[in-house]
Amino acid sequence: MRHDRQADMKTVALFSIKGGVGKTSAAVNLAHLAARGGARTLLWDLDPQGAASFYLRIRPKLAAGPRRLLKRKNRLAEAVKASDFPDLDVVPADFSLRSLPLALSRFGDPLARLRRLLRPMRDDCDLVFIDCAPGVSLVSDAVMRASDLVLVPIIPTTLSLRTWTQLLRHARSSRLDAAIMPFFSMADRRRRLHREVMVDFARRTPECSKIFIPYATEVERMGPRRMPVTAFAPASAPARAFEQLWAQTVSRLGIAA
Amino acid sequence: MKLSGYAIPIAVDYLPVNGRMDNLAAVDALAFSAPRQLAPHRIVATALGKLAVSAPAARPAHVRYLDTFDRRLRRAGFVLEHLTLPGETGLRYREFGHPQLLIDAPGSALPAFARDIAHSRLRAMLQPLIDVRRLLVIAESRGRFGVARGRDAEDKTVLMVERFTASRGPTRFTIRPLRGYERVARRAIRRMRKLDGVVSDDGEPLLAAHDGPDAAFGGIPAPVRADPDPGERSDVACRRVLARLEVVLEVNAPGVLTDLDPECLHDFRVAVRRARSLLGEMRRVFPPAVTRRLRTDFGWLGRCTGPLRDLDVHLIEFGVADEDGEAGQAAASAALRIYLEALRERERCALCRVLRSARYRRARSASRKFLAHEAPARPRSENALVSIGALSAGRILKVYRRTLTEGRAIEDASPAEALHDLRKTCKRLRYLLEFFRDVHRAKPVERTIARLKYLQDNLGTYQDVQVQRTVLEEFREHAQTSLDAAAVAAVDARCAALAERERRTRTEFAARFASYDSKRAHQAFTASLRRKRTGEPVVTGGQAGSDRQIGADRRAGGVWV
Repeated sequence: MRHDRQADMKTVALFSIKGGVGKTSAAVNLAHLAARGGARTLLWDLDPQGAASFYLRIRPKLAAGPRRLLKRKNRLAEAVKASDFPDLDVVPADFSLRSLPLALSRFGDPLARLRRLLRPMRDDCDLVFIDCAPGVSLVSDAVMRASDLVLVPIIPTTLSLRTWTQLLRHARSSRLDAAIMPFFSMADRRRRLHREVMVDFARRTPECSKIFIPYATEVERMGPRRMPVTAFAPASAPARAFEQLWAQTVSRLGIAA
Repeated sequence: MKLSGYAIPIAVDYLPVNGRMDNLAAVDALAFSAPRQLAPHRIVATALGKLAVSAPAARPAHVRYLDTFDRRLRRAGFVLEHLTLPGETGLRYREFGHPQLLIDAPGSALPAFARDIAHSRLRAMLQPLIDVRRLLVIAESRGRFGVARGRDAEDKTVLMVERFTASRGPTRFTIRPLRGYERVARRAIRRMRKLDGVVSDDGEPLLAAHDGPDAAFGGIPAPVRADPDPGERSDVACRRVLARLEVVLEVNAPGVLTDLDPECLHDFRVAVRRARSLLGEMRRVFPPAVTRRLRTDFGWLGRCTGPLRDLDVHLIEFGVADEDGEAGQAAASAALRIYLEALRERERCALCRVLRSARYRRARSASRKFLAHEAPARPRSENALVSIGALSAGRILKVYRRTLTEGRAIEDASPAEALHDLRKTCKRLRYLLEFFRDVHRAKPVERTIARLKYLQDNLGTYQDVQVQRTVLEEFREHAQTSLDAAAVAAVDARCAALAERERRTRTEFAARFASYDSKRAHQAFTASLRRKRTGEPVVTGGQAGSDRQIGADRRAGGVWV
């Protein structure tokens, strides 16, 4: 006897034009929470810096280069590595991914390429998290096309908010109709500026998540510990915030937790 | 993404050791066993080769194998293990006879039902298999358990080797490969195979485990039916059916007392109702005093088991509604569950008192004593010697006719009681048909059972929805002060949904009954039973062919259609 396959695979991208806003830590922690809840989860590290791979102790090495990765449908499955957590697998990144936009541009329909690559994973996978590199490129557009939900971390500062506006404008002009949910990351409620920016932005942006990830040492400790904060400090404030954010993401995706 | 248990296990020896294929093919977990005298840490060190090893000492472990009382997981070919280590628990799900895990859910507590499992995929896999059955500890094993991890330069686990040493028998080692690191696993397997005294272990650990505390509740009583002998004396045949029902009561009573599974009470209650129905339908088969006594006892038991069974059904039904409901209903659903569970606990205590009472013991003892005796050679009851084929055919036809009369009289404006009366008559007919389906082995009888089921579904739903609405209204009265406005609104919304479902079910009745009241099926059914009813009288017991028996056979018949 075999069990029936579960419902459709969902793809969630962590994306921001600005760097250092907490994309990778959010991707790693949310992926860990999804796997812990029972979803077969894949974290696809698309950032040439390979920080997500590093956090999960995977050697930053992609067996096939970007061009070969994009060429064949089952290449992605071949690149998958198990993490140290049940049900959480990773497609690691390495520095060769810096040429991914160029490799993507050589295909006929570059924006649909990533979605096509993910399609064969449906039988083995319930959720895919994509950790994107910062900046707007052909890759980020293809990620937005391939995703059911794009989570955008924002630091409550003027420059970070500016990149949010740029992102929205770009998504509209390029007709990237992905569902986008911004959330505040690295927020420090002790700072008046952070508080004011958060209140003002939430008022103007109804799609903004009410959950914010606090600025906390535990998140920085992910570096030396090389594991998600939800694994080594599950009772800490950021871990609880990631849990709430994950619950909201589940609700947005319309899937059973 | 995990190494899937669905994958066909690959014979590792036949794969190329080097080259690209080595990385592409999945490797399933593989088990080995070694005598206890071989030092386990040396075996682990050999398997992991040059990898950096982190191997904490083995810890005391308790493995519980979970399944339902009717072994649904085992029959579907799966094993669910609950592993307890100091400060750590987890659930593991795999195929029977395969060490490869389909699901590894660390941190899971010992679940009572599928709904208690937090791991969504495991819950989704188990729910359709075990439905509302309770998970019981059917086997268990104690020993020492340890996991050694082989790590690479990044301190990443690339291979796991588990070892379990039970209180008796050899140590079992399981190589658990990780996706993307298959080559490491293959090397470890090769090294294990070369070790003296270490052999591949294809055995299923469940079979080597001791019986768990709930292992005794594994028997599934055979369906309670009369033997396929239409010529048998009615008193002998009915006595045998009653004896089988008595066994069902005996098997399930301990499960009811310990609240093992809602199904125990269900089977117990159905056996009680069937026994009472049989005594009522097969009249003048036993002495009147015996029939009266048994019917009174079964009637009393039926009344005592009813409230608890109803609450079990409500908990199941409202549980299903919870999952389909909106998030806003969560508070109302939780309060309703607490309310129902409190009522259930009260009723369960009351039923336990009944099952431990002197009256219950006397009733069972009287019933067993009567059934233990052989049927008398010269019974006084006038239908005792009538053949079971003839007597049951007559009775089935009579009750069948009644279902038609009652059903045809129901109109759109008929009160709900008319449908309830028909439901009860249908149930009587269903019991009779099921008792004697082997006596009247014929397609029309089987088809009538199918037609009846279709009608009963509608009548049963109608009754259930009405009862559920009453329960909800009582709950609203009870919890009006403790619930907030949103929760009260949610209860009202559910009441309205039930009222709508009741209306729809009532509307469907006419079409369902029309399908039951099919002329062609009706003719085939009555014809097949009429042949049985006019069969030859019984020629055993010294009474065959007597005036009394022939008279009884005639009375059992009678033109009715």
